[in-house]
Amino acid sequence: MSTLWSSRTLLASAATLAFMASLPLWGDDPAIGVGINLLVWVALSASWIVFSGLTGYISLGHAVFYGIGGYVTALLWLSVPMWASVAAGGVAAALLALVAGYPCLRVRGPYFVMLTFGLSQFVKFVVIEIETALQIGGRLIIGAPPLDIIYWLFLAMATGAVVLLAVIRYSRFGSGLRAIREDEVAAETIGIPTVKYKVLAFAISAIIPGLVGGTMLMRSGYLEPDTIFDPTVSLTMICIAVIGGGNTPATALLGSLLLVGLSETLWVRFPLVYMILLGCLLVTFVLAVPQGLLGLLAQLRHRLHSRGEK
Amino acid sequence: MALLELQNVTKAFGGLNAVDDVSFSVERGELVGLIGANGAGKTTLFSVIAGNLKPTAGDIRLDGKSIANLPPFRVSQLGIARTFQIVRPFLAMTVEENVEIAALFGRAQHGSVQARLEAAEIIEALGLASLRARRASELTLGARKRLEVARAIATQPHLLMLDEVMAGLTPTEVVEACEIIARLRNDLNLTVLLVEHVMAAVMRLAQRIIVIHHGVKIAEGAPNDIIRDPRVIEAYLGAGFEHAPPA
Repeated sequence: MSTLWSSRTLLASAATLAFMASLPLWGDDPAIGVGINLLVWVALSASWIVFSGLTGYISLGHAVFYGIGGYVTALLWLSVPMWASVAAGGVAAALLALVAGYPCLRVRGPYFVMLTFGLSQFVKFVVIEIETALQIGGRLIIGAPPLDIIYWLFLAMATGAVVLLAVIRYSRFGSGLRAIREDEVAAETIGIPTVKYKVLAFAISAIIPGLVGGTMLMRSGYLEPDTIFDPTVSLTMICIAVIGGGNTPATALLGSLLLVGLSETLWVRFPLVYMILLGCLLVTFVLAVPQGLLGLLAQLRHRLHSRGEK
Repeated sequence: MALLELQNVTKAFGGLNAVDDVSFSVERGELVGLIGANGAGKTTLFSVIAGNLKPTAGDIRLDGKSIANLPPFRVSQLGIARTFQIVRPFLAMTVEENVEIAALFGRAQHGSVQARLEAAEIIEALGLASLRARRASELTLGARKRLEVARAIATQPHLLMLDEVMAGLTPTEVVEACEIIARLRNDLNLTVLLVEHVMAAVMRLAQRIIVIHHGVKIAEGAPNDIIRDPRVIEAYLGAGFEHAPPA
């Protein structure tokens, strides 16, 4: 707690935020693109950690919230103000999580993982069927705001997700969620309303992915159900959390930084084997650095510290 | 009015009645021992009272109000805390965090500052102060049992249910544990229901003993009467043992 709110951390956060906020003012479009990539993954992975990182229930279906956010934004596009269509995407994602969460969260472990994956595929194919029945191959989004506005929207969402995770993790609610992760029966027995907490955390962690989905739609200018519900989005959120290690805001920041940094450099140089390299990286982390970047840094600091004392 | 009252409580698993038509009550401030051979249904009875299991039939009243169909978190908020025979600490958290979280919830519902103060006091009272920054996963079984009790107490219960907290402890540790329980009970005005196999501890602590055998209550009374009760001797030691010459 003390490390999170220390003045040094706050100062570093403010500096990072100011730097990121100024990027559209001096960067070219490709630079803004890389910035957006980073912000999107920070927003998504921090949201995922709010639920899966704190409760230990691994959601393999968070892409569905991103997708439904995009889809609802596309449906409402131009019939309501722009901001309202994006906000509706976030609301729709949270509602879906509330409705789906109640039955899904009755099971744990691999069963929950499979259910969430099943849910995301189910919604994806329902949307594809609807679009096919309506004979719509894709939806064009006209009149989206310019790139720098979109960038700042993503910045707001990434900041929101990180702050949300920090606030929840160190709150009473977050303590309850972490107790559920450790031992759900014991948690319930000391007075934690586990069902309510789990469903609530699931819904909260769906909001920002919904907003990100809607904003991503404005960026691409085109909705295709296959792309917006791509399960890779879910997988990448988990990869970032694994690479980052732990369940703190720093997990999302470090993990996203490494993943986006690597994918930007690798993708440019080795477009064909880029996914293979990323896969190898993930395997390496799971096997050799299960504590993630965060754990690695803590070990290094510990080692330097003890050497300094000698 | 009794603090806890069980009326004809039955818990069936398939065709087997793990708890069979059990009735008893616990008065405020009392320390009641619950004994019986392994598999007699003592832990099941605890789980039914705490809401971890739903009773098949019968009613459970706390302060006159039925709690028989409440979920465990509600029962905890109303003031019943239990420990688990096979301890369930939050392994990745420190001793401090384990107890603090319990003080945030349960009947206590403290704010974070108050929870930290309460937790520190309870940790001290249970002799865990030197281990407060250790993760629960690093503790010995004896320390884990203490942590289990600390966490239960941190919820600020009226009724504390201890499930074999002394099993596996050395004789010296048992004496120590008895002293801790007696002191806590005094200091915190607790009512205690104690499941225990260590008879020396039950004899020393309990004002009243209830004996369960195959899910049925077979005896209830003062400790000295209970150990002379032929039904209890039969259940524990086998029929005919009461005719054996005194040792």
